[in-house]
Amino acid sequence: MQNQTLYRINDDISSIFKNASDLKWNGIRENTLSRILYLSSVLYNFVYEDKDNPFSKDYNFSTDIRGPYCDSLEASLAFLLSNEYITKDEETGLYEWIGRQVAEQNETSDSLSKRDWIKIVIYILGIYGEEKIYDFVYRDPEYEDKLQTNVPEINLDKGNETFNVLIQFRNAFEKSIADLKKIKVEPKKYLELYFEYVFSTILKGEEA
Amino acid sequence: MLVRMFIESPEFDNFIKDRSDSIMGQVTTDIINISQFKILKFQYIDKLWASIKERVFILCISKENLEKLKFKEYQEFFKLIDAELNKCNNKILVNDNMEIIHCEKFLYDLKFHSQHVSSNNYCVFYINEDGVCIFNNGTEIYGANVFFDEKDLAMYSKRKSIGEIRDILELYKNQYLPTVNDIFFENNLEALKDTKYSNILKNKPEKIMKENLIKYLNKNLKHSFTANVPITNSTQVIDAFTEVDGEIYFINISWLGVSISECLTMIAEKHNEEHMKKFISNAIEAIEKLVKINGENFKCGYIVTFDARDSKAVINLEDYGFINEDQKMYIDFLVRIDEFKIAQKHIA
Repeated sequence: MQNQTLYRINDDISSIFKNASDLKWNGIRENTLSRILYLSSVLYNFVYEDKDNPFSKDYNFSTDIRGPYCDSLEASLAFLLSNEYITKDEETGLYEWIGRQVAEQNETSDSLSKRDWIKIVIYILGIYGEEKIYDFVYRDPEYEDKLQTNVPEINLDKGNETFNVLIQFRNAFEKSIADLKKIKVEPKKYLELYFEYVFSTILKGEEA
Repeated sequence: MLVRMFIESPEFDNFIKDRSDSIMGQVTTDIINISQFKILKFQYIDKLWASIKERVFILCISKENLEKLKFKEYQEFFKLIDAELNKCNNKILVNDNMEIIHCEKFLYDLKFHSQHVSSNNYCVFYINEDGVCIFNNGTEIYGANVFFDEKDLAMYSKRKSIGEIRDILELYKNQYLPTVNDIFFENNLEALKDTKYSNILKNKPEKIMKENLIKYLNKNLKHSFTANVPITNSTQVIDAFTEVDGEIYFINISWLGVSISECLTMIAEKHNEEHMKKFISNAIEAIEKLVKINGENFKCGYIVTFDARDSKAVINLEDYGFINEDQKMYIDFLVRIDEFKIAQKHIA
């Protein structure tokens, strides 16, 4: 893995820990980090439709029984652990950020927008709690599609299954409630509504 | 698949139309769109409501404080509120650190008072026996949640946790299964009228069994089981899979007896004691792979068998003597549920 990629992934992980700490999540498992990064990646283009997805150049997620899996995350965690940015509780498998900031790289518009975006994703997930992230990932259309068809490579770019379902979700709202189109609802709001809808299926024990 | 299928269906449009008022409420109400609001509502206020149902009280936070709210651990917050309620205080004001800055015992109509307090740029949660009402700018606001309500939350909180899965499987076997017993059997047996078997399962009955059991578990447990999950770098597929607090569980489902062919003219498969041993060996193999992938995070694998044999003779597993020596260490991770005995109801 190139140094620049490693630094960018370290920065993403740092953003997750910072925002998770605001929500009082005590320690995070590797699977949870991977799932948050996956959701941040696969949902990105729904909210920023006209931008290139900055996550897709650093992450190659594949389907795995543990959830979406990416080796670069493992490499980054090993780096952060050996350089004492994070600690790992061997008994619980929980990682904790010690508090030291990762060395600042050249700040690009990509790195700033990723940090803002990760904050949005964690705050949406925070509404339902860390323990529900697994359920959201296993109900994610792109992941579910690749898992059920046994295709390892996951598409993070515009046009992935999740993106398509979200577009249909938004269209159904705009078609059914005319006023929504007039007031120009932000994509982030539709994303919140989508997560609420998926959560309602979890609450009611409906099929994934 | 259901989430996606429903969104793609024409019924979804009507589903949205039916909720248009709440949706407009959620989209247009300023306070709901403060990022801290929903976390406060769902992770704190709803949990308080679920824990302290018999009390009626109001919790107030100014809009300014809500915008910069720093969350506390839920238990810490719960203790603070509970202590005030125990002193019979029913009006509680908190600041941006979730600290109590004022509390009192208000003697008049609290719901009416909520409206009044909220008109001074406060967000007021009126927590009562029936649920949580929210007030802002002097009026009650709707749409904090569009797709579920307090009843759904209450029903969910009554569901069992993974530690009680054996109780749920017992309920499935004893209470639910007898009511759906017939779905597993083939009734159209004209071509097989001379058969020696009294109980003939449908073609590929494992599909129906899996679907039925997973649906029941997902309705009765707090956790979701996902069907047909392939094990990484393997051709093996787990029938039902879940993860709870980082720990992994699976269920493999099989059957004993005979099943009919797709064209309904002959017996297609016969599953006997030998099949059972093969099924268990496969489950042990899956456990071995999952332990290697997940280490200590792998918790256990349950095996469930629907026994549709005419004679329900005891299966002799010979103390798992058929398991390879180098895989015996994984037997401790295997939980064998007593067979679900099913039989066809014949109409005289």
